[in-house]
Amino acid sequence: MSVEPSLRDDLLAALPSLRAFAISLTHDHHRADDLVQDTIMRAWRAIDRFERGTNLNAWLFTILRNLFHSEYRKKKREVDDPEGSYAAKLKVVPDQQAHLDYEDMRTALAKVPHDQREALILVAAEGMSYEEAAAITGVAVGTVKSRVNRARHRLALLLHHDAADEIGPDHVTKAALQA
Amino acid sequence: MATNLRAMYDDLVQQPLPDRFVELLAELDQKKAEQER
Repeated sequence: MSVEPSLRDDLLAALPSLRAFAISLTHDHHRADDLVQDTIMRAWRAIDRFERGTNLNAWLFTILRNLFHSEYRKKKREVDDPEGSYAAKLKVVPDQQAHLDYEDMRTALAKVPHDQREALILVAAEGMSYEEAAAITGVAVGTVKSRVNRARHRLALLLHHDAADEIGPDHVTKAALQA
Repeated sequence: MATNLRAMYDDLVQQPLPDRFVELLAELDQKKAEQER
């Protein structure tokens, strides 16, 4: 079966989102682009198995996520240590295109456990339904909901914590003035 | 927080797509066409 032009166009149209998801997973533009490239190649080879008329984005996200995880399984230590090596790597190799505005968010997000971060990105950032996110990540809908909730909670705590740190000296000053 | 997360993500989506992907798709398309000829 050939790849009809409309499907190729849909694939092309899906790439910016796919790439954003890849960057969110890897926090590395080069790795993200390699991942997107591998996803395109794999999707192309398997295109006959794509059921026309179903959600192409979800299908592509699933392929990309599976590739990412099979790659990461080889480097499992990195995943098991999200606050250590992973976070450290983020600081050492800051994203060149990163906006400074999102620095707090990025740092906080890096501290959220991987499975929760992934669920949060799919639902809260990419705007997928819980059902789509569940299909992509291969878990129950309830699990996705719980992961998203935990991620939100953790993120809120982390961002709040950072804010508290920033106003910390003021408290000290206030205490000193009151003394 | 949710707004900030989405804004950060939208910023990534808005980034220009590297040419390599457009080229790759064109290349794959051509190969497929040749195979079917």
